[in-house]
Amino acid sequence: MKNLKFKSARAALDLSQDDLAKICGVSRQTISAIEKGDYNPTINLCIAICKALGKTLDDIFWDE
Amino acid sequence: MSAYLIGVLSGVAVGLLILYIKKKMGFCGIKGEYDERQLRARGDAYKKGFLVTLILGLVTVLAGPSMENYISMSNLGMISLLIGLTVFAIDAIMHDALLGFDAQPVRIIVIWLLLGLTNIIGGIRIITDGSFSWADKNCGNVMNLFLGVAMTVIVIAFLLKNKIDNKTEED
Repeated sequence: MKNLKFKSARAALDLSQDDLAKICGVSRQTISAIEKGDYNPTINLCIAICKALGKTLDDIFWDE
Repeated sequence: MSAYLIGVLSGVAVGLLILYIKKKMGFCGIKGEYDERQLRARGDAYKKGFLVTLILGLVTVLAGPSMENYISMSNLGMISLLIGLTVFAIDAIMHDALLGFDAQPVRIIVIWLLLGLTNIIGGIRIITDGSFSWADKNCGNVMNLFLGVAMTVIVIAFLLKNKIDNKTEED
């Protein structure tokens, strides 16, 4: 399932997948795979993404 | 000049060329900076490559002796190993564990293509002069061809992956 909250949070900061990947220390393809729902990141990577986007884990990764 | 001597001299020349490129262009080998997903993908690729090598190795051990008039055990063993390595490399590349290709794509592709084509040309030369033999216990003649094909296939896999990535970028 696509993670639209993640994608919109990234877009709101005007960050490209590549920019966010560099901030988080992962590859662009990994960010793309998370957005598409093809990969479940570890908690460490989730935290890094949330810090980069200025959001909480709930904001980005919690499904209602 | 014997083919053996030409082979040795070519090997030394390629070694010197790699050293020159390394020194001159600051090429420092394959960078192994993988993220968590790529590390997992590489681990999966290792498993697949190992499994393929194991199965083909078993086939070699079981069926090899009865086929020795057609293809030698050493050729079968080396081909099994090469196929296993190729499966590992292609699976890793297709799942973004790119074996350093993405760090310096042009240089690595050029070097791999050169080595691949050199081996293919060597293999074709052996076929055209009639000295190619599957049953030859000295597996060098068959290996040139297979190594060349394997390296070229890996480069094609990388180019394909690169194309797919460019197409899906920011989708």
